[in-house]
Amino acid sequence: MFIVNTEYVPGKRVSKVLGLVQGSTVRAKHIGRDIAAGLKNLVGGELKGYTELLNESRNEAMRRMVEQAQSMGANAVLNIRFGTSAITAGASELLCYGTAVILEDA
Amino acid sequence: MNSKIEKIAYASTFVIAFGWPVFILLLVLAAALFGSDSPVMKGMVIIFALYFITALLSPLIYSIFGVWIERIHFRALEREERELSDMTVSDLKTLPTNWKVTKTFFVCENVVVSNDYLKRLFWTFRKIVGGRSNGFTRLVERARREATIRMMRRAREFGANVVWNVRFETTIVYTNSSGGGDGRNGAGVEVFAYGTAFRVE
Repeated sequence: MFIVNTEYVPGKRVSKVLGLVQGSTVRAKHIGRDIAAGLKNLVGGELKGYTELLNESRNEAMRRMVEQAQSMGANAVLNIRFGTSAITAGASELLCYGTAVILEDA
Repeated sequence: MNSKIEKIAYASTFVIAFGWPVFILLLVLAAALFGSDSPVMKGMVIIFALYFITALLSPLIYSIFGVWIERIHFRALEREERELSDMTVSDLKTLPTNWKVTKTFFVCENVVVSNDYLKRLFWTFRKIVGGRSNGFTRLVERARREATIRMMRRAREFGANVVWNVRFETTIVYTNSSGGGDGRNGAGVEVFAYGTAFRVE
């Protein structure tokens, strides 16, 4: 599966546009990680627990998007975009969307 | 971004936050085993008093660590930007037509950074009169530069020398236990940078 956030791929040609695909997920870390991040938050610096959490969630959202694209028979997703919103404390919704296409060598 | 001072600062928050039961238990044990007039008990009282003063002044201690961590982070950012200066990063959508691309892939990296407790506390009061927040400006700058550097590093790792169509996304992160009850200000800020990496000959 080929994923890019540009509207075209150099050296390839879009033979068919299959339409919009998307994936989203809401996740939270367990309480231990939250307390650790709360303590780290007192002195500042990188909150690794949350970096990881958001990274994992985004990967999951992307995986769902890719699964949807695969079920449509696409071999690439072009022009993907992300959306993030904080739903409640300690949880975020991650959205990932793009256009599923079939690419051919030009 | 994982400096020694950060680990020391983190350990100090742990000791100050969870030290109460341990120090009180030690005080009670010393009183029970050695009697209240013994030198051991006097020593324990001094240790407990030191701990109490440290806990009272903890916001100040956290702030000193916070400023230190920030300075180290900025220095690291400058160093890494110099290292990665041969890469081209742009938010343009289309490539120049005369470039010959041999490799294309997607890169994305994120980082969550937070300010220290005192900076957030000052801001709750500063908000009353409004104005510019230098602390938060620097925080977002740190996060954005760090995310960009990570994205560039990832692109180089897989053999690219150009990152095109870069987009940024900024989110406030709230913790459940935001440490100090000022969760309204948000715990930290997340910056997510993504783009398409190319190898251009």
